Amino acid sequence: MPRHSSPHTVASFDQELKFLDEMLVRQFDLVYDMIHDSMTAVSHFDPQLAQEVIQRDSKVDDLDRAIEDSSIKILALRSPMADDLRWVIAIQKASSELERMGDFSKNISKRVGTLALHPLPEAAGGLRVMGIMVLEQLERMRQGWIEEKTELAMAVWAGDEAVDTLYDGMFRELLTHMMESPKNISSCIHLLFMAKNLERIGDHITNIAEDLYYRITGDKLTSDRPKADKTCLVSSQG
Amino acid sequence: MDSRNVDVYYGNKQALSAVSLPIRQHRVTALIGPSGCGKSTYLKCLNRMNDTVVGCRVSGSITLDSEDIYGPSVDVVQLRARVGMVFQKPNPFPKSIFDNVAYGPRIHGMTNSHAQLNEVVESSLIKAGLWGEVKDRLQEPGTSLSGGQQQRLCIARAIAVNPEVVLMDEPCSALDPIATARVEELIDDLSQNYTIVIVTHSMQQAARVAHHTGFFHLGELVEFGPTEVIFTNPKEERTKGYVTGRFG
Repeated sequence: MPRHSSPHTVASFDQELKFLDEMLVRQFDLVYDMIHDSMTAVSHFDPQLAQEVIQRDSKVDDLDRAIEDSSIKILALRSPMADDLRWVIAIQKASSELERMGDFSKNISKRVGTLALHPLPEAAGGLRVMGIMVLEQLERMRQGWIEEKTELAMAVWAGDEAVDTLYDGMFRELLTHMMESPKNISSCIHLLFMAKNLERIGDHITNIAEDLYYRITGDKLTSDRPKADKTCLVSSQG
Repeated sequence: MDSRNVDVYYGNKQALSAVSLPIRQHRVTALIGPSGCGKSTYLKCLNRMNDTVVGCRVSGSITLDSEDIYGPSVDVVQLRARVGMVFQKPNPFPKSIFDNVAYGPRIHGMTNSHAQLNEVVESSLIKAGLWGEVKDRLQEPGTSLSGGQQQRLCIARAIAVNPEVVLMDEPCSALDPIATARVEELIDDLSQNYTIVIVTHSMQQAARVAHHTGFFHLGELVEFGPTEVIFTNPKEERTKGYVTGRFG
């Protein structure tokens, strides 16, 4: 149930809403750990840890399906209204975002084995910084969700610009490494895909921020979000 | 139709206080709220049904086409032809289906010939979605119809006098879900030509049929707005508590 509301006349309805929210928080935690551990696996070129991360993705998918099933059941049987309705809709949407974030963590982990064959430590530093920033965003988002704070949703929403800036910088840096030596190309491409996955995770976190804002206020964050990914304009020809 | 600062007293007891509510033309307006909140009292003010209640006093202004319906020159019988009413329990007259619908046009002298009367009865039954089911049995008693058909007969009877506004006081509470759905479909059709105000205990019904919804509580109009807003993002805590079922 929305935390600031009075109890529902039908207590079991509140329990169903609470259960739905608990599943989502569990999904937040699983995805956080997946991103964290995939970044550790990249930093230490640790394919075994990467494999563990890949296996954990099915748990995130299971939770997404369970949340979807429970949401449909609540919508069909309880006909929630006002903030209860927004609560269910927002949880369902946020769960889909987390499911995609799990997929991106899995994709990052899948590349660790290949990257370990030709590690490029000097180029992997930027990725670590991006990972830290994305994890900070996700933690802020989780806290905002639990405490139902629009300020935190807004902060996350605006904070993605910094992730985009880092991605933009990494793109240029990797391009430089590739131009320096064709031997770097394979590793750089893998690192570039990983960076792109992190950048997409950042986008999904901002989508959850929008879901939370809607859930609390009933309004949409409609103005254009600040974006700093300018990689579509970058060329090796200068 | 419009109302401003409407107060209603039953003896010393105030049943409505300072209700101001616009009723938009050719739109469905739903009034919701817990029992005893004043929604039916308000509805009855709109065609002066409260005049018949001993000790009832109404103040404030209620206008129809900018004319005060409580003004001295208003003919209440004419007013009730312009503002028709459908009640909670279907209440057909103990007459034939035809005579039920023909009753209003006859007493108001709206038709000059039997053919014209036939036409009004037929078109009213068509508009009420009942013609196909009763056209071969128009002389049978209205009470021989099923509950849902009886309610649609009452709606046909109300619109036979060509009202501008149709008031409905929980029109589906005695009907099964299929009959309810047919009446709701009918409300939607009728709103093309009539202004409809419906009192309902079913929030889902208000959500399904109404363009605008007003929430009443303890004789006050707490919130009024587009139905979508009232049910997804109400501004007032009391409205939110009521529509979500978290009414403290």
